[in-house]
Formats: sequence, C-alpha cells, structure tokens
Amino acid sequence: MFAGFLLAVRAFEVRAAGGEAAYPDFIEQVYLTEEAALKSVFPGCDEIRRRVWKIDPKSKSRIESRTGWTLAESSVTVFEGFAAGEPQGKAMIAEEIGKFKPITFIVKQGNDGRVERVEVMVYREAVGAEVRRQRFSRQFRGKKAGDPLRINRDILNVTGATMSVQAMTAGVKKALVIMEEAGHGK
Amino acid sequence: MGNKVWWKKIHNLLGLASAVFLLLLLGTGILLNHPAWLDRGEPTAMAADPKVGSRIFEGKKDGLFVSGDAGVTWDEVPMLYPPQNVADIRFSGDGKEIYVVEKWGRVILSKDGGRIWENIPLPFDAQADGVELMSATPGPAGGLCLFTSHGWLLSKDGGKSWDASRFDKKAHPLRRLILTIHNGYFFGPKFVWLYDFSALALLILIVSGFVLWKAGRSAA
Repeated sequence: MFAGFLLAVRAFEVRAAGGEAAYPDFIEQVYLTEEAALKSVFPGCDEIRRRVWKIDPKSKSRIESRTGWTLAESSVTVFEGFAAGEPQGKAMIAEEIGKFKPITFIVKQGNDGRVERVEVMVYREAVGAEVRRQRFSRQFRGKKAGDPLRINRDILNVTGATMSVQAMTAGVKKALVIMEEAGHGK
Repeated sequence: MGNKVWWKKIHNLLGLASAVFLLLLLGTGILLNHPAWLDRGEPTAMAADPKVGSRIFEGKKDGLFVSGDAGVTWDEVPMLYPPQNVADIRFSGDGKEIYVVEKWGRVILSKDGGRIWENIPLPFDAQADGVELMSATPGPAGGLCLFTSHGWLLSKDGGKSWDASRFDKKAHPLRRLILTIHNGYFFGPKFVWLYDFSALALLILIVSGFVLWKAGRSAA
C-alpha cells in the first residue's frame, strides 16, 4: 500500500515535470561509420565508387510523385561496389527523422534492385533503438521500389518504437525510389 | 423474524445487482482502456472534394483512403508517411489544398489534390505533450486554424509561424484530466495495465464471492 502510494506520488511528479522523465535527452549512438558501413554492405568488393547525383527538377517531381511526399534533398550520394570489375549492387546512406532526431542508415540493393541489407549507422533517439536489430531490418530484404513498404502490411511494427519504424520504412522506400530514378536501381 | 428474511433477500438481490453492474463496468472499462481491441476499421473522418462530387476522402485509424466513385470502391492514398488515427480532413475553399489532421500527431497538407503531401510544422509535439488534435480550418493564402484539446492556434503562413496565444500545452483540461485519472493514463501508460489488473482482481472477487454464496446456500 505504501509502495503504491510512493509510486503514485512519483507519477504525479513526472506529470508535473511535463512528462520529461518519459522522454529523456537523446544519446548519439554510432554503430557504424561510413567506411565500416560500406565495408559491411560491400564485402569482397575491391572498389567502391562514390557518385553525387544532383536531383534535377524533373527527377524531383517523379520521385515526389512515386513516394507521394515532398523531397527535401537536392542531391544524394550513391555508392557502387565492384569486385574484379563486376558490379555488386548499389547503396545509399540516408537520414530520416525518428521521433525528434534523425536516424542515419544505409540501404544496399543488389543488381536486380532488391534490398540486400539495411543497417542503422547512427541512432540519436533515447528510445526505439530496436530498429537496428536484424530481426527488424531483415524484413526489408528482397523489397524493391515498387513494393508498398507499409507498416503492419509488409513490414511488421516494433512495439514502443513506432516512430522509428515509420522513419526507417519511409527512408528505405525513399532510398529505393531515388536510386532507381538515379538510374542505379535497375 | 419475517422482517429479517425479507431484508436478507433485499440485501442479496442488491448485492447481485451491484455485482452484475460492476462486471459490466469492469468489462467496458477494460475495453475502453484498449481502444485498439474495438477497432473494426470504421472511418474516423470524411470529406468530399468540393470540385468533384464523387471524389471522397476517408480517414481511418490506419490511413487515408480515397474513392473516385462516390464511395463504391476505395484506394489508399499512397504516401511515405501515411497518417494514423485521422481526426479531420478539410479542403481549402478552392478545393486545391487538402489538410489531414492526425489525432495524436501531425497535420499534413497536399497542394495538388492529394498526389504529393508534406508536413505542416507545429510548435509542439502532440504525442509527447499529450495534446489531442481535433480539427483544422483552412483560411485564405495558407492560413490555418488548428483546434486542439489544449486550445487553438492560428497560422497565416502555412505553419511557418503560429499565433499560440490561445493554446497552452501544459494546461490540464478538466474533462481530459478526469478521463485520464479514470483510465490510469494520468500516471503513465503502464498504469493502464495496473488498472486492468485491479479490474481483473475485482472480477475474480465478484465471481468467487458468487460461487461461495451459492456453495453456502447449497450447504444450508
């Protein structure tokens, strides 16, 4: 009874503080640097080419039309891996806002345009880091730009990390569409 | 002696009626605390295109849908961030702009009749601040009035700046305060489950009490 009373008092204190205890400050967690991420998604490649694509107005309009969302980026960097001169797919490093802060992640697609790997590189939110687990990110494997990529349809949600799941799902879809439009996805 | 039997009968009857009433309260209370269990995909907001009569938008818990044939068939409006728990859908006066309000999140806007969407920046985080978005009324030239559980806000420039003098995110509206104390959310999301546990404990007490009463009667 006394413990219950203390718990209730604590809850009142949390409410009085504007719920701040429920949303602590973010901690930047770097899981992969750019170099490590590229090595990870292009294993066995002896060459990784970096190409900066400036998105022209026509391409921007097409991307927006395909995603149904305004595109903030004016240029993107697409990486291409080669092993003995043979292309081994492409990758793009993207950022999407989770609840408050951006999540940085890499999307790697094969030569057929399907996702092979998705890895979280930097996570800055206090909660929801479950999206970096393979159990979540491997759901994207085999997906292509034309797939719906919709939570609770072809992507399962993670309880307690809904905003991060939304951000990652939207980010992967956007990256796939951009890479395809950049002529890198087909 | 006769009076005593009569009063006992009244006591038992009232006890039984109270138990049934409590069971009803407990059951409905638990269900109300978990609205997702009750969701059957009903629309939560609707709006007809003022320019094309047969074009209707429908908001649901899991997205925004559009019908081009007056509601015979529906398609989900494709977008990167589909809205959830749609509270309101509004067209601007000229029908070009569509505003969609999420109950616990964002206001999104399409300037081309629903093809491409964007977020309207808000000066608060609805979910974190516990502010329920209720409706939006578009005005001329990007003007927007947003009505919430904590007051209303006005923007004259499409959300770039807001007049929030009638809005207080730290306020505790009385109705909402009572509701959240009643369902446990006031103390935190986990308290809802504590309330459920208490309700289940009460349920077990009622059922076991009834069984004991029946057993006592049989023994007598």
